[in-house]
Amino acid sequence: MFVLKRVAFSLGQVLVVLWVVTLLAFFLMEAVPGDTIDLLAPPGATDDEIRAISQSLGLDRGVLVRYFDWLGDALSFDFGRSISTKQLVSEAVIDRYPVSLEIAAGALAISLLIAVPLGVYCGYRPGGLVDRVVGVVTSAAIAIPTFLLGPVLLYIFAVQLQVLPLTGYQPWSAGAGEHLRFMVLPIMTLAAGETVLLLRVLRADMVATLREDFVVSARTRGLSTARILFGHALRPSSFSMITVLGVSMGRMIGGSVVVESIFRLPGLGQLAITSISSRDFQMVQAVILIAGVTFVLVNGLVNASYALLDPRLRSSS
Amino acid sequence: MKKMLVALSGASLALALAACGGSDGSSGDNSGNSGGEPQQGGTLTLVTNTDINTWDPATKCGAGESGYMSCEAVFGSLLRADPETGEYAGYMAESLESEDGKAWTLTMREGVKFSDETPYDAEAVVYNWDRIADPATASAALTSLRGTTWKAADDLTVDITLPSVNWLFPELVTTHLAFIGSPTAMDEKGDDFFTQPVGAGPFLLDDWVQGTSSTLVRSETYWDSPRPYLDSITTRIIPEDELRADALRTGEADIDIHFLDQIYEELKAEGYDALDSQFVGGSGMIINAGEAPTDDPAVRQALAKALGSESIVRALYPGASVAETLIDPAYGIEGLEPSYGEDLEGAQQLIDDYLDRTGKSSVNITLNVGTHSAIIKQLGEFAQANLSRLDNVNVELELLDYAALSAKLAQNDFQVSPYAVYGKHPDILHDLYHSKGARNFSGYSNPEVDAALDLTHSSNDPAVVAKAYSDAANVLTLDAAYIPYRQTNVYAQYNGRVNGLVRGGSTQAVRSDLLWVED
Repeated sequence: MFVLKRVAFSLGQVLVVLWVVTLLAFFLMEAVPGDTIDLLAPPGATDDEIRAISQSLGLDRGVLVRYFDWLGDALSFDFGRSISTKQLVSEAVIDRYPVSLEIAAGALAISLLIAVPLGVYCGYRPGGLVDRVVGVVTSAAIAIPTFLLGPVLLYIFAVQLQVLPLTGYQPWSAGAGEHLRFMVLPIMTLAAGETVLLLRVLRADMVATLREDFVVSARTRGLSTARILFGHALRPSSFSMITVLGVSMGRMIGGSVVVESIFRLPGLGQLAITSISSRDFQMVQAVILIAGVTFVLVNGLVNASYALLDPRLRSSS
Repeated sequence: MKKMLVALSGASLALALAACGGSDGSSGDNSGNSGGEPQQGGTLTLVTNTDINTWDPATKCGAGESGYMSCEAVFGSLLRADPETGEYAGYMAESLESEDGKAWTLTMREGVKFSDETPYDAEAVVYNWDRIADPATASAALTSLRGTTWKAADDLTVDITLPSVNWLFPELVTTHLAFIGSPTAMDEKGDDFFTQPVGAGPFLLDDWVQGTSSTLVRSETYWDSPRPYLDSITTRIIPEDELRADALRTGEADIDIHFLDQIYEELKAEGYDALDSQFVGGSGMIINAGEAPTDDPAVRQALAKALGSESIVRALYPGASVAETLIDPAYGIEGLEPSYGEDLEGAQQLIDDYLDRTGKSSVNITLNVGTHSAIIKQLGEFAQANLSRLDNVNVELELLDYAALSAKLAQNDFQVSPYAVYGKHPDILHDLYHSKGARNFSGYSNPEVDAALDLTHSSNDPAVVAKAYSDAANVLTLDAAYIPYRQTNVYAQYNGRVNGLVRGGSTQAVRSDLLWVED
């Protein structure tokens, strides 16, 4: 019964958050300067002509009527058509979502692959040579923003060395190798900042965990260093990192907008930029909603993972 | 008789086409042609800065100059202006003729079909032009068609009647009214047509990811065989000028469309040839003449004298030429008054006189500047600094994204804004500065300018038309209706495998059907 109540409460929270996301998605676009009709109507158009354009786009209805119509349709994944390209918004989102997801998931995987072993080792040997070198490198890396790192990597690998393509995209259907050639730099660019953050958080927690009694006890029992580090110390040291991971996903959704713009990748971020420029509110609303839902779901998964990692949470339930 | 009149109507365009030449004003080999026989097959990649908005023929695909080529590749174009002679000639249509400049006859070619095998005929033209005239389509040509009527006289003939004599009507048919989509496909597909267009042009749209890339493949049903020569053309969108140049250098692109003289010189030194042409009015500042204080010519003249075009060009556009006249000298129009040079003392005097005359204590100017381009933003800051040198003039910089700025311009809700008088035909002046111009969003109105620009439509004597453009430009210059600061070139810079590069005539766009590659 307690579990059901907890699940219902969490679900209720998620629904409220999603509803707030729909409000923001819809009314933010209403608030930005630059009216859609002003953009579309040819200079010198008469009032009647402007009214006809407005009617054809359904913009002559009240804002609340439009919001509830949009919300109703959005529940069945019908976001209408782009006022700019006339493409079905749901189609555009479905086409581009996998690209953004791949960049974010790839960046996350790379970040974890680098951050976990290095964070564990630096926590094991704080102040050692590796820890100091990593400290210097991560300090430098965290100081370079994504919008600068992307062009720098492009210059080195695409312009100077010419081992990777400059910009653009090839789908998986063009071959895995060809696809990955286009994805390497965007993923590395997005992963850089997150790797540093995860590494530092994990290192700090690792240092503290390795001073705990149960670790000293494990040492006295003669367990190997690797087993102590990865079998006993890593799990309790991961809570802060996992919390940061949830936040990281949000940052990556934002970061993907920048990365997709730099590398001209056909993802949701690039779609959002293009659509904002043309006040294509149908498209922007859908992108914000989908990004919001993704963020909420990922954070739900992060919350669920706490229970898996910490037996105390399971027993309290 | 009829054909002669068409040729005459195109004669004034010859002025515009004189602008095709080397960036130094020379007329070198600009065809990008090795002189060999065109080879069939192969693919080509072009990089440019902006994409098509939608594949709607009624809105010219919502494309700027750089997207025009793709739109024309899919839909063809009813007419074209010959890049050598400037005369309008039939392309997808056979001819457009008139005896009086008011009643026109558009004659279609026999046997031309859309890629869905339906006829490209008079009914198709009427269907498409009806869409343009429907306000719901939101076509930029809507206002240009006011008072014009058209009907299909038979399968191959469209009779058109204009509200007044306009010998430059072929210019409209070469640009805003040029693209015709399959009516059958539009009826069947509805809004899906605009992402799956069906035209009768040399290429078919194979794939399009808006803002990223598009791929066009050869149409097997194109009427003008053996053209097109290429199997496919891929257009990639890279907004950054330097990155596009790098794409050409690394071999990822074959043609780079750009607007910067410095990049042109760099690439030229590295062995990349270019096809280039000039914007008729270059880049400058458009001023709201409908609202105070810039409705007063003295204030506009003061701004022109204090803007500091030379320092702007030197700092922001190395290698570019300062715009000395409102119409680019390459157009060969004689008798043009020079634009205001820097004269801070004279500018201050005009402001002081204005303040005395109106009893005001200061002049407040807002520069409405887009943030979509880093260089335009810098230009805004530069202009703010230069204009702020004037006493009792407060200059505010309002930074806006592209959509907000476009909306402000369209609604005459701006004061001074960077603007390029793009296009290749001086008829753009009629659009922008005639009091009834289709795109007169600056609110400028001057009977002298109206009379001169009316003459550019009502006369088919090239000498009279040239003089009329000169007269209109001179009044606009003295009135400081527009402050040009830079001559602007459009470059199509290409590598050694590209051949058959030819401008379309009325636009800066490259003709897709003539391109071929040598591998």
